[in-house]
Amino acid sequence: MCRGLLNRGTRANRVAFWKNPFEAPPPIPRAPLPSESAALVLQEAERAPEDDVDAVPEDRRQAHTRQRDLTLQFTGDTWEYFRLWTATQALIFLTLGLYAPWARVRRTRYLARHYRLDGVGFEYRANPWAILKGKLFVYALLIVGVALCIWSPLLIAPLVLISFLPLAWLLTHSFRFRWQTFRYRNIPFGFIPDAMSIFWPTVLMGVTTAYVTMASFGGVGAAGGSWGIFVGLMLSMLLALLAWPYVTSKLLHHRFSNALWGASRFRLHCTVGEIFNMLFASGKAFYFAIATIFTFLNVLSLMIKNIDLRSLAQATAYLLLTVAAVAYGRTRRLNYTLNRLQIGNEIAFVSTMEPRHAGWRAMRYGLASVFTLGLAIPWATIDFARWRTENLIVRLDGEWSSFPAFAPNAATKGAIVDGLAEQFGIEVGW
Amino acid sequence: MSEATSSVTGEQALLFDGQHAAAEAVHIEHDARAGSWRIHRSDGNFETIAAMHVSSADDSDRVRSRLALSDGRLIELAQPRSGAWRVRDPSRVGRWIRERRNAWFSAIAVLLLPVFILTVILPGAVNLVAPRIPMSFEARLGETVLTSVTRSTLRPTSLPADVQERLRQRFDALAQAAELPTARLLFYSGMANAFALPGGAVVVTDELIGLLGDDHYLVAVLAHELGHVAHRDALRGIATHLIASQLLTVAMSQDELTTKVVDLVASNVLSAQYSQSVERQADRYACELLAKTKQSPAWLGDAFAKFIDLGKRYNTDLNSGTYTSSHPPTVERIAASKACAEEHGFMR
Ligand SMILES: [Zn+2]
Repeated sequence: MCRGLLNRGTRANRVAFWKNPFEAPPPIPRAPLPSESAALVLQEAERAPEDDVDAVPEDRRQAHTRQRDLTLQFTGDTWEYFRLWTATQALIFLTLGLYAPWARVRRTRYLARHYRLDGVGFEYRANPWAILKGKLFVYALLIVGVALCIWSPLLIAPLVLISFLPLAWLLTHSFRFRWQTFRYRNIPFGFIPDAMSIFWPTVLMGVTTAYVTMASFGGVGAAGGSWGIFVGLMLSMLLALLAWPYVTSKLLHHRFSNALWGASRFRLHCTVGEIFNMLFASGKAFYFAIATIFTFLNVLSLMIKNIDLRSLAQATAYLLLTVAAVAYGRTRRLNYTLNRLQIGNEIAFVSTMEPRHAGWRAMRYGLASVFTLGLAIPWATIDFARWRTENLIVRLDGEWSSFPAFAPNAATKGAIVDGLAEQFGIEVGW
Repeated sequence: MSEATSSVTGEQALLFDGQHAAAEAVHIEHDARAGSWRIHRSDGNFETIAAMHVSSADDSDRVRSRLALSDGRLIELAQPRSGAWRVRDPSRVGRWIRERRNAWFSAIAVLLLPVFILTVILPGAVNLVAPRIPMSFEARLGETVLTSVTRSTLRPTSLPADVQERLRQRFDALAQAAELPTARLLFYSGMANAFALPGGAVVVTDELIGLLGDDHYLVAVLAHELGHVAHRDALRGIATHLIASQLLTVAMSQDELTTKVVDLVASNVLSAQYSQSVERQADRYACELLAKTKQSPAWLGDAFAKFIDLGKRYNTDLNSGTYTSSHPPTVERIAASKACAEEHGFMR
């Protein structure tokens, strides 16, 4: 009891609610001062932007009386992880990639064990052989696909489309595999696959990708000359800008709302539409800043006389800024989702990762990694893990004993489809 | 501690039974001599567990030791392991990671191995596979690439028919001397460029012809492209690119944004290094072919010199389709061309 109270006090002080820097901060609800009229305070409250999508919901800002904030730490050590990472990376290169599943298991196991919630670390258990089998199967399929596409370029678009048909099934089983490999307090996580619920979104993604592939092969709009190509390009960009955020939002929603910890179901208190809308609700200033910097850097790069160096500089700038923009969008969405997530009735999350910081962080990590030829990746991983734990609060309302295990435990199923799903380049991890 | 002389050590621990998330505080003792573990439960009872039913392996010195019991229960010690509690990862990789100074060897390997793979193993693999790919398949590939390029960056030629005929005759004479029956010349309009496709088609743009002005220079450039045809470089290039990008995806297959950045930059820099040797080979081939057909190998060098003159305005490259330039320094290529001309007795 005493510990819970203490925790609440110290953690609450550390929480800084971030806001859009280009908007006035919402006024804090308060009682009128002796010299003020109640109407003034009411007016002030009315000005509070109710639709500030990035803010932590009102009911999560402070812990209820029965809840206690659990301590969340990351205790991993940069040099220790550096040793682990470089050794496994060298083995990946030595085996031309065959060691990759073992490396993944070893690294994830290390990171999971050092995430300590309420004093107890997480656990990761996966069978590298299963992951390897999945990868090899994917490569066999890829070789056949590439050969077919070369044989007849007309097959490219249909093949892309067909390959997206089983994607819903692949993704749900991939989610299940990923959830099942983690456990906390000796209770495994789980996932209830519901492929039908994401079937149409993944088909939409397939249509978009097939269309973009066709457009880049000039099949679309070529009849109308350069004008037609332009219209086709704009159309495909529009599709990609709307279809991808929608589909990934749907997948994020699915990944959390169908997850289990033991027998306790995850519950997500928002719809896919709300997640999708929040992406466009604000953040224009950040994207505008990114676009401005990109233009500026491009103009600046014209001063580089050597063509090779110039194109390398431009590519690097483009990549880094894309990475920043993606990290920014993802962090906002993850905050939004975590702040509406519950496990059973007892566990709630408050995520306060500042999206702009996430963007600059991603850029810094990228830059450091480029200049060290990859050797900074372990540092970036550990640094990010620390930052994440500092900006995530987990609240428990009740006792650990109220979380029972789930009886049927089909462990490590779905490793093959996990490899398949990975090939689509969709973010299946987090 | 009175246990100093005995082999038994004890410690506080948490027991997770796997039925629900609650932990039971237990006291656990390890008998190093017997290899067994004794768990003192909170209700005063105890159980003894033989070593064979306990597994544990840690790759970190900072994490609390965990014992997984064969019945599915899990024990986490209250302290990071120490002394008799150390249950270290016995595997070779685990031992390698624990040794601090090994980190330097690993780091150097991480830096050097990709270079070795991309400059030695990858070309070796491509050399092994490329000759075994049937010509008909390569021709198909060439058509696929051409469809894609003509749709996106090339337009139909506006070169007069007689000029086309004249250049085609010179090209065919070269191809005949080179014994390349599949080689054929195609005219298009687009950025000043010349490149060889898989299957033997050589594309030259009106803009490049206009830029070079003199037929001699163009013939030298075409001889260089025939070098790519003879070595099946376009096919090799595509195969190399496909394999290299897949290798990099496998090597960096983690859900980290940073790896994607490293991945792209590394593949650009390293594959450029590889294609420079390919270009030198094609230059060498052009020199031999020109000498064989009683034409001066120095023309190629003159053509490069012309590019340098115009280079500030036109980003011209005798490239085989890639946009990031991957050719050796032009000055170096001019010198090589001059040297080759002297070698064959073509002195101006
Ligand atoms: Zn060339």
